[in-house]
Amino acid sequence: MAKIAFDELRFVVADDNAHMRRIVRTLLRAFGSREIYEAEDGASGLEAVEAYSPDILITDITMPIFDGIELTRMIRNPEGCRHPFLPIVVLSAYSEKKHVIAARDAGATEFLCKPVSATALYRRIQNVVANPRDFIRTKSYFGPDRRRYVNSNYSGVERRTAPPGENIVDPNQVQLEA
Amino acid sequence: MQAQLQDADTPSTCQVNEAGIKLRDKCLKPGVENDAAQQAIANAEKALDKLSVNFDEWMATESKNLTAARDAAEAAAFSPDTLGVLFQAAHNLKGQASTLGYPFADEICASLCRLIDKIPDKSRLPLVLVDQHVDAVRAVVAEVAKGTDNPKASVLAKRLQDVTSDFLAQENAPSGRLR
Repeated sequence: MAKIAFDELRFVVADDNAHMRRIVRTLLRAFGSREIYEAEDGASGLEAVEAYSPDILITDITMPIFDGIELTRMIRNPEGCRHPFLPIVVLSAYSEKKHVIAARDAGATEFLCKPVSATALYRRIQNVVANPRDFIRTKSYFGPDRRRYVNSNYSGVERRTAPPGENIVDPNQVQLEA
Repeated sequence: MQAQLQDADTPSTCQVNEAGIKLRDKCLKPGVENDAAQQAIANAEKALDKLSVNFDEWMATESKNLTAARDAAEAAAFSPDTLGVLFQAAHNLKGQASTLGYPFADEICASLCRLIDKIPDKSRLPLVLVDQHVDAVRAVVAEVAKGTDNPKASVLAKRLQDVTSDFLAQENAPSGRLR
């Protein structure tokens, strides 16, 4: 059993809505976090990630300049960002499946639908910290393993044969196709 | 060292998330997880409660933004740009209204977002129905219709959802528009 030392976690919160940033900041501070940086669009979100090297990014989807999905893709591209393994929690009012899948396929670590609650946010952060997933690289994807469980009924081709731990990839050598 | 995988068409490699493991090692401390979680969540809910003195004012601001976006969109005959701003204003409210204590405003804005998003021909967006959504949000905020036990707000939200569903069903009917 273990507890999360929130005072050691540094966050960037990217959301174009000032009220929502204030709410998320309030929740994170109450959890115990002391380092919370805010960004009001995708571009300043990326800048904040580069400048502050956060432990976790919490981002909205719809934002000016570029959105949270694009921000996630940029972060997961080692050529564009120094933190390709950064845990990313997408926090959005878009609850439709297509948006959840878009976030997942961009490389988001967790997805949280608004309205945000203290419990839901805590659980997502807890999962990010306590259960880091291996990273997968395919022709078109680099990000946390999208398989959340082992499907014992799966009968297709096994495309991932080596167990985690045998495949240490230098993130600087990871290249994604356009 | 990278793994070579069997399926040449969709090869994938798996690597340990060393950064994640470092984060876990740094931030997971000895202690009783459930107690810590409950305490942290209770602290957060208390902090949110303190912050809630601002929520009515924030809702009023967001409602004004929605009204202004509606006015601009209607003045521009629902041009794509102005319609996008209107959708965004409704979407913003949808995302935060429940947190701010106005779940019916959330429902009404969700209905308005659905109306704008799902209508196949944006030029057929019904002005009256858009107005009814925006005015309903204004009324909910003006009446401070908070929580889930306001019968008038409940009926209003339900009616708007139903009318929107019926309208969208007609507009998206395979045999063409029925109106």
